[in-house]
Amino acid sequence: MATQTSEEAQKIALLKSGDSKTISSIYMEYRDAFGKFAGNYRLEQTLVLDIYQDAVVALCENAKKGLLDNLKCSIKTYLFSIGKFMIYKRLRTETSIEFTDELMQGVEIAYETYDEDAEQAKVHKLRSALQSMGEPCNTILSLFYFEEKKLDEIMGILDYKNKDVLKSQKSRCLNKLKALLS
Amino acid sequence: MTTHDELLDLFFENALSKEQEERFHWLLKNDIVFKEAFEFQRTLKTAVTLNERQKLKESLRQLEDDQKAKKEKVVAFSWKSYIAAASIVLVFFTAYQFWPKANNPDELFVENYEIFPNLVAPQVRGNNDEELKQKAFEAYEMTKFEQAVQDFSNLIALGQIEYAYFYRGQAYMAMGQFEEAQSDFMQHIAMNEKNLIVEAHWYMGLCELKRNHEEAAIDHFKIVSQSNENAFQSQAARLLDALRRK
Repeated sequence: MATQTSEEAQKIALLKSGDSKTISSIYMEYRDAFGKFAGNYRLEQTLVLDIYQDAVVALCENAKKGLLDNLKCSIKTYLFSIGKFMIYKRLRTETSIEFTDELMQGVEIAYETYDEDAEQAKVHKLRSALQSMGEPCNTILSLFYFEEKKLDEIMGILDYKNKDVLKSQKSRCLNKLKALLS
Repeated sequence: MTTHDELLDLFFENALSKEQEERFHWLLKNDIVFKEAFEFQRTLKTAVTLNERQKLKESLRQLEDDQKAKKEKVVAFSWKSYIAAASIVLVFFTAYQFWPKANNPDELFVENYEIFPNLVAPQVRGNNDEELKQKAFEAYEMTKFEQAVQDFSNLIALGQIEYAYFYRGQAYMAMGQFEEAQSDFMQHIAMNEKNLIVEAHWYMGLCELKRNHEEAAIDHFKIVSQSNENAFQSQAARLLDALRRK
């Protein structure tokens, strides 16, 4: 089974750190190829672009979560697999067609999708409230809930000397959010 | 024994032991407070995730728009080079006129920060609370910010919170106490339904900028630039451009 080249490993490390140049460069590098690939599914160009952007978002998210650390295929293969998964999901929603194929063969994709139309009112309110939160809450909450970092890792990233201090800061952030919602 | 908070942290870290997992599920079934705390954090995880995804997707859309604009410029140049050249001059002239001249956060702050005027102070003396309010705004107008902070704090203590957090935040900001200022602006947003909400976002954005939290600043400026009823809309849009060009 293939392993990462050092160049790919470096790209993944930069994706993990959220490096915007690397994200832009990967986005541009595979954009046209993905468009041609998706052309097989007779999708509108704007829809293809939307799906491709979602796939790049998923790639970046999974890199941050450390799910690409031991990737056994190239970034391109992984990205296209996510893209395929998303195309199928849309086609399934829009056409009710059942697919039985070997879509995910060789590539394990972990990505939770949310039905945004069915998003609860609570999620909407929380999303707005989060936009009013300052630092360090934004960073702590993002690292813990989005990047799924452990508190011990967050201590290192944010240079906290004491885990209890970080825990109480996180707890204050949750209380602030609750206050914003009440 | 592991506390409820620790159990929740371990759940979200995906690090519950078998024994902890059993207790976790037992609590979910039998302890309503624990269940509520869990539901809140689970919803929060969804909200944080969707916000982060949206942020990244917006930056990709922006990249797409930038690429499209570049291509269109190239085509226009080869097609009617004189008109294109003139347009470019016009674009540069417009950019020179309207865009911020710097993209260093400190310089952007200096270019854009101006204390918010007093739009509230009562004109006529009334009861004690009104006098206190007038005193607070007088101190504010006379740039006696320490006194203003004290007076607005007194108003807050008396429950006269309308505008007090916003203007105490302004006073803190004028004294360079950006963390305290942000906290007040946030309180203002949390407590008032209509007035000066977008303005509070504008000043929170500036505080974040001053503290070198550019991404957080961008979030606030987006809110301001997308809202039609405020004096800072175009200024916020230009700041966003400047930050994105960095």
